[in-house]
Amino acid sequence: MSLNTEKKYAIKVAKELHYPKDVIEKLKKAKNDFDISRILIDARNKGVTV
Amino acid sequence: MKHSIKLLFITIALIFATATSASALTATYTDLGVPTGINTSFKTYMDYRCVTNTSSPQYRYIHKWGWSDHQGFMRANGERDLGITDDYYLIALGSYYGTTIGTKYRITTDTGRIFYGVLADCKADIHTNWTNQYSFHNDVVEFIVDTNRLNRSVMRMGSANVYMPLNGSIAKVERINFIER
Repeated sequence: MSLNTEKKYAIKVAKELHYPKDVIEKLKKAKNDFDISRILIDARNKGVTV
Repeated sequence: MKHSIKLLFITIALIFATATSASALTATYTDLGVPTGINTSFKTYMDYRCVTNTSSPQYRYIHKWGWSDHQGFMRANGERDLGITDDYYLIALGSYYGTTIGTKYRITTDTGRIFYGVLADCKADIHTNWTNQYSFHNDVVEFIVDTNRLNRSVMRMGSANVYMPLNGSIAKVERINFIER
């Protein structure tokens, strides 16, 4: 799977699972699949300011 | 004519009585404590069709009050007029937190998320730790879902923790009681 396809899929999933907008922006700028995983894991571990 | 006026008065009286009884109630929260020293962010799920005993309170509760949201989680309507800001998730907990089907909880995670749950099934004591608080995956909360509609990513990861509104380790479990003011 190309990086672009992976990014598109990750963004689609992130939107479905209600990840914040800044995560979507970071995913758009991801340089490789390792980056994509790191961004999503970071988002899950980060505290939320409500 | 006279009959219709009488009916109108009865309807108004009924509406007034219902509104009064609802507003006379207030929600109180009792902190029940959570296991310490373990990561409780893993959140398992089970399909609502796994409850098959039609005469059980679980089955009756799920089929009477449960509905599936667009992510596939089974939900029950929250009492907005009593300060419950969201609908309840149908959940299963260990017997430490109670075994009465229909008991309501407010659950807070360490990421600051708050969600409401209603006990629709119980975890068997043999499937939980010695305090009957969590199961084999250190999971305190198990969600009841409709697997036909469940989000594919949640299904692939095997945990509802990837779904942001439910994300985080369980930091607080409070039982909700509705008492008269």
